[in-house]
Amino acid sequence: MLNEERIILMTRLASYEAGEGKKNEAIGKYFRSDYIGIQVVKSVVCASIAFVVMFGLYLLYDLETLMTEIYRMDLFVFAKNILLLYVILVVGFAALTYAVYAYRYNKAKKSLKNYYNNLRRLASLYEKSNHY
Amino acid sequence: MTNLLEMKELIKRIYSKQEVFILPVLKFLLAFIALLSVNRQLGYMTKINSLPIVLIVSLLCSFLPLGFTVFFAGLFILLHFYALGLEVALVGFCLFLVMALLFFRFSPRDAIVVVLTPLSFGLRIPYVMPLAMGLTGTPASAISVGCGVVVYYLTRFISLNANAFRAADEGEAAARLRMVIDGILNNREMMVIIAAFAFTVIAVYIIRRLSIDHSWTIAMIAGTILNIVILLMGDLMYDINISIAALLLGSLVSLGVAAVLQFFVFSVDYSRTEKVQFEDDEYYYYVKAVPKMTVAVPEKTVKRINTPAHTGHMESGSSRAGGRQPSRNGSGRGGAARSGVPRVGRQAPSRTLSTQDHENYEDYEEI
Repeated sequence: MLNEERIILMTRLASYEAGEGKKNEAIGKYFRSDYIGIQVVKSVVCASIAFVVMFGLYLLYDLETLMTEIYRMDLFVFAKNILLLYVILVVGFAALTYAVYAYRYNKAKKSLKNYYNNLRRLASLYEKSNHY
Repeated sequence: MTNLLEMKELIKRIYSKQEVFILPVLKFLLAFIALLSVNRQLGYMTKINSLPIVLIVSLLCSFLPLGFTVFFAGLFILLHFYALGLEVALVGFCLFLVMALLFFRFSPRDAIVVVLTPLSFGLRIPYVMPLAMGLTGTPASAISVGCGVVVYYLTRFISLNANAFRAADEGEAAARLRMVIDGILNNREMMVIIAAFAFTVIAVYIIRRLSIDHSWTIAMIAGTILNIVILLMGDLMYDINISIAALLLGSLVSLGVAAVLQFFVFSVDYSRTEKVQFEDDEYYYYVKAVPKMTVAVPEKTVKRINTPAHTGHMESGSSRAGGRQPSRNGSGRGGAARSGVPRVGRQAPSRTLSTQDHENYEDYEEI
């Protein structure tokens, strides 16, 4: 026999699975450290590419000056400054990524926990109906 | 006010029923207007500066995710830049790439703001963007709005200096590149606007989250004032020649637009009709979950005014209707219908099921 309560609960669960749940399930497959680690690595790669692009533009922008000054300037100091800028960008971006994705992971886990609780509740509804 | 609330409910009802058609149409319109604006402002590549191309791409965007609208708008801009000069396209490409890598990695959905902000500049109401994003987004939306401002000023700078780029010799590639980069980095007006918008987004966000009455309205008004003050201060400090009349008028119109958006869009939960399928050991379920309406349109009541026949005095229609209504309804709650006041929570035939639905809803844990 059709059980309205069960159908409503199943509809809500199915709707969650089709929407937000899909994303959260993907996050929930990882351990916290793995998930955040992967995102930080991705961010480091993105920040590195962005830095290379910006540095490339800077080189093109100042090419003439660099060409004339290259024999007079201290290349070691120049490289050190560039490296310092790179480290600041990457570390800052990685820290931001850590904070954002740690928050997202916790949120997804909390949401999944409620989802699993509702699944258990559904299972208990089935058990109850089998007893009768 | 009641009329407005009814209109809101009507829009909500139409949207929940016709969402399948309305959403693609809205996406099509957004892409169409965005691409047309790009072509109108830049339009250096004749191959893509044609209505059929814009129509085809807009149709594509209507059923693709919203991110594709941003992608195609960016592509159109870059192609126009390329027609003007390789260096211009190179700078544009690098700028877009850095935005995509650094800023939109966290919230790809916010990327649409980069399209909407230049459009709002085109409509002379750019001040609506920080208000709207402060109301709907997070403080991080300040970055998206800032990126939108950069895109607008980049395209404006290129379109204003197109002749200079054309006139420059082929051999002066480095000079052209420097010209574009200088044009972006030394644009004080752009910097002031980015700062003003960023502060406005954050201020509006903070105020609308306060637990005070009318926090959204206060946030909009405070945000508008803050925006005007920062822009005027920027004008004084950097002499960027902001037209005060245009600023005040634009801010007022933006405030009005934000208020309309807040009433009809932001504060309404356009929950959709969902169709889900699942199964258990006994059945396959094909469920269509229709969102419930909270405010109903006023019920049409027929007032009967009886002619005085025997009693010699006229009985008021309302009092008679009041006497009859409960018995007609089968309940003692005829008062609301009697006076024509909208009844809250009036539901159509699925009343029994929906009541139970609501009771059960309370039991479930929020997912």
